[in-house]
Amino acid sequence: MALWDLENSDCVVIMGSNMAENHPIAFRFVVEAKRRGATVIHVDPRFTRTSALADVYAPIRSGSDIAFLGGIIRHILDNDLWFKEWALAYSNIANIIEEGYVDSEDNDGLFSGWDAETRSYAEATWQYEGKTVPSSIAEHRVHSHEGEEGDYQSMSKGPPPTDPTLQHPRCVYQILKRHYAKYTPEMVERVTGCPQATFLKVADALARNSGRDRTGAFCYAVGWTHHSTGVQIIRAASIIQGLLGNMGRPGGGIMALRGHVSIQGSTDIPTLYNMLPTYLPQPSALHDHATLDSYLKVETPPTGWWHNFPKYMVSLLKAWYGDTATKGNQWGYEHLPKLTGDVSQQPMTLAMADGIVKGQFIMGQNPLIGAVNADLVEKALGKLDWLVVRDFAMTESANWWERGRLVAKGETRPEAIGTEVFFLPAALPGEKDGSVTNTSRLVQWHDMVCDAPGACRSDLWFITHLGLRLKTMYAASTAPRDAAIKALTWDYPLKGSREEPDAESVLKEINGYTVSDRKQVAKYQDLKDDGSTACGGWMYCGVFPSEHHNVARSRKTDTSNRGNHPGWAFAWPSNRRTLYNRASADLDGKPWSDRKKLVWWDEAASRWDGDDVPDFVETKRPDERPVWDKHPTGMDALGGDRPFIMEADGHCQLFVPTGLMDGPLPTHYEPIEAPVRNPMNGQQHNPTAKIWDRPGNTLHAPADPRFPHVFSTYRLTEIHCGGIPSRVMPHTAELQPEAFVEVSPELARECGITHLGWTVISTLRGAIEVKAMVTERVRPFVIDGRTVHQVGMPWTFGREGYAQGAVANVLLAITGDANTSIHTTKAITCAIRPGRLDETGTVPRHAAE
Amino acid sequence: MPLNESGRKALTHLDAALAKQPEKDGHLLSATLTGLGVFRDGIIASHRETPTDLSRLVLDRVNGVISATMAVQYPLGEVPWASLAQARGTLVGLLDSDIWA
Amino acid sequence: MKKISTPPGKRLGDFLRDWSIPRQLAGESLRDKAAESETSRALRPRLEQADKVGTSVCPFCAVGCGQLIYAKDGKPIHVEGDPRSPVNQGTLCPKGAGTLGMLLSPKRISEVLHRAPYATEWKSVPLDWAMDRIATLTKQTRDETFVEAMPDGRTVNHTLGVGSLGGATMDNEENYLIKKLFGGGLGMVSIENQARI
Repeated sequence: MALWDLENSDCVVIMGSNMAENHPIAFRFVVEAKRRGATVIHVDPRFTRTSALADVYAPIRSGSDIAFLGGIIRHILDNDLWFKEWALAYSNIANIIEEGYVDSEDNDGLFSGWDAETRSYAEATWQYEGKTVPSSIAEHRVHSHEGEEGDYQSMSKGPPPTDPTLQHPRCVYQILKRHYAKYTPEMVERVTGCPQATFLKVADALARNSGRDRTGAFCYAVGWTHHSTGVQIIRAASIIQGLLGNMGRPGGGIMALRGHVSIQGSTDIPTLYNMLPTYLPQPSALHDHATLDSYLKVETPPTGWWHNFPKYMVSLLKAWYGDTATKGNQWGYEHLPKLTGDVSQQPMTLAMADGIVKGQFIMGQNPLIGAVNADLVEKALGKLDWLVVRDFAMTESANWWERGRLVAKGETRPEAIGTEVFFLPAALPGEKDGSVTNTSRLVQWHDMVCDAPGACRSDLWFITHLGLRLKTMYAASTAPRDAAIKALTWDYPLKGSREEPDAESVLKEINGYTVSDRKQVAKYQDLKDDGSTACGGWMYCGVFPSEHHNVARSRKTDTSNRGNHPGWAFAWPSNRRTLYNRASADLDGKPWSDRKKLVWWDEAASRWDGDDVPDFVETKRPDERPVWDKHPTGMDALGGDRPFIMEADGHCQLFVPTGLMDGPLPTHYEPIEAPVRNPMNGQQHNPTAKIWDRPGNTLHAPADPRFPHVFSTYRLTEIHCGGIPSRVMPHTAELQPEAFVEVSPELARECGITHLGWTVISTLRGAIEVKAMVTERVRPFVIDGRTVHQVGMPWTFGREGYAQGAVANVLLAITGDANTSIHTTKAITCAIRPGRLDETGTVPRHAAE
Repeated sequence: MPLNESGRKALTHLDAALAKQPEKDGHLLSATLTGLGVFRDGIIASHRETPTDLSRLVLDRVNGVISATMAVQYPLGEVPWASLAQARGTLVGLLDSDIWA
Repeated sequence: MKKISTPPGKRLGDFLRDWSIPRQLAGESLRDKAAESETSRALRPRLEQADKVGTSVCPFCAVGCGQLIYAKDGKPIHVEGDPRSPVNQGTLCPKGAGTLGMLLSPKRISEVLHRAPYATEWKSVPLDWAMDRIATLTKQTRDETFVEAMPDGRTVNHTLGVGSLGGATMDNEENYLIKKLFGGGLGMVSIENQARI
């Protein structure tokens, strides 16, 4: 959904986010929704400005989100509050699951398919009966063996079996009811600490504000993702929204509030290890990916939109390897490096510590502040042969060799560190042009207004000129391993005395063009798998549809009352503002209500029309059905009543047959470090979570009495993320001059901590000293009959810039969510005491015992 | 210290890690990788001094063993133990050859 | 400092002429004419001297607020919210409103710094020298850590010896070329950014 669409919501639940403080301008739309009558709810461990502006504030213990959301699912099902026409037609609620399926609630927290030796699941028993459902998620395809097991073709041989009466014991509805039966309001209170009455207020408000005439939205941020169960927390919300029909409709959806200017763009056009541009899986040696043919065979789902996958892949190879890419050499497929394991940021860091990574680029990121287990990261950087840091002011990640924590503690000294370090000053916005993509897929161009000072250059300049040097150095090589760099197309026009690359020429390549005449491709429907088109990122197709038309530059304001602002920049795909918006119309293609209309079937014109670009085959009638005798593929296998076109069956997936490493349904597990034993089942934490137990990265056992308190980190309005940009800005540094830890008055009394007094916080990873802010914004919880204290501190401080303070991430461990390898920052355990660090060093008294 | 000593050390850790499968011992695998890293550093140093087809070949082999070990330490889904066992064979072949004399 | 040399009588006269209340009483409009004073007549719009303005996007969180950057003689002089943007309608949060402070921060570094192995301090070096050196090191490390095939024979054409971190603060075009050069050209697979943390 678009950010501004939040003002069309009748109920906004903000959970896992402190939106008012961390995304203040997006919060305008929540305030506007409230002014129009919406109920605003904030669910969070800490009372913040977001809570202050909400109608309902529901406190929960960090890491108990699935218990809370599971409680809402149970409440909706038990009280029959779901939007039946919508969910019956558009979700898989009636689908029948394989006979061998065993639910985690009947098996002490483990689903069927569990392999204790490999600590992973096989997904065979989670499938629709008699089918193998491909997932739509590139990350999952890389992570699992889904492409090589079962029979994908089964999806084009007939519809999956369903029971529209919902009586079949293995239909999704009945499975959901049984799975969440335990999530009673009493249980919600016992696990989360949220009073039952408050919980029920939230569940009621959500259900009351959903249906034909009303919609609700969830807003989340890293308060949901930074857990060992992050993906499943979001999944729990998507089950709620799928039951309530809050998807693809005005004011409905799940809004991810992301943290960096182009974090969405860098996910779409990824500087990520497991994907090629716009969600194509990175080839893997562990899969049947040896040739392009075998790669396409296992990665192309027979049904749904992703059936077009080969067109996107071949066009990407043509964009990268140009004329050298021919059908005879698989369009240069061999050049692409193959994965052999998880090389995301956490493993990359650990491999660095082991001496495996020898050279490292760090560009606009500050891992010594933003990455967890900061001391281990610092040790790892010291093992490098060379390090290139690009930033605009000195960062902790560039000068650790002289000013780092390890040097300060006397554990090492510059003379003992052999890493060659470069600091290359970067150009800032206003000093370069290019496009960035915001959290709701809006691609906006920004202009160059003046030259960057001195030797500051854009990252585009750096990477282009590094590439030119490397191409020259490899030009004479005849070794097969050097063929890729030689073949790489790298002819971007250079402008001016600084030879700045033409950013528009790069965006034009991302958009795509026809190879023979180098004319821009107008839409991804025109891409081919025969080498006649080149395209660097199919989902961005349309951002530069003709030679001189950069749609990301468009700044037309919406003068109509439709409020979709179609003339403002470009939203991928196809300038569409709301994904899956066919769901905003009923089965016959009519809007569910006048109040919530968005797109509809225009019978006279025989096409879909509306206030947004319809997310459907333009001329596919609502009553069209697949002709199964013909074994239909692609969109022919989806009826006119299947809005979720990226899924193989076009359905909103309440139950996920394929796509998740840790189970088809969200289940409450305790965080990897928890103050209590799991009250809900025998599995203490997510059994598939990534735990890298090794020296310097050990974890606290559940309910470890040495580390009794829950510790959580967060951001500040004034100091942004890794911190350097805002810590060197005089205004913001003055507003938030130093680090602090928030402690409840009860815990302060218990430990003898005073407001503004020093405290030492420790874990097995390290210890820091920081001043206390004793505040009732943090309250103790009663969890499973005992009092649990929670402390929280901003992680954005460091030793550089004007605003300084302890690095919170020293305390955290390197762990990963099973699906994403994202670390846990929101729910670990710690010890806290008044005072300063010991004179002898930083060994915390508690940890040393 | 002869060049292959660190390789021998890595092999000892690798054997201990392989013996524990299917349990994945992060400490042992980390020690294996550290040993392989030092082993490779030595080979790189000698290769930089006098690059030969042989030093190139040895480097390629060790890098392959490192990738296979990384794949078990940081798996994507299933743990590729069989590939690591084969990598062990490569490492043993390398250490037992007469090139270190 | 301004020298006071005018006689007291004239000063009083000037004051009475400049004072708004007598002028209001004499019928001047409270909204414009009477609100003027000698001081306010001398005030100039802050952006009057800007010789260039461009549209930008706030560089902090992912909300994507529109900004206008004003410059004079090739230097930024003001950053404000773009009133046309449907995202922010001219507003900015404290970080966005402080953007000029980032562009002009005294902490900003505009020279290339190099720290040799085991050295105790940075040295300023020419950009060209650094680029050549970085290219040489990249090629050397990549070549020394490259794997064409695994011990079991499977082709991988990758290196685990060089990594890249960062991207979420950069433009799409920059991310595209990083992945293209490092992944598609050099065979690096450890390419990551803030999206995963």
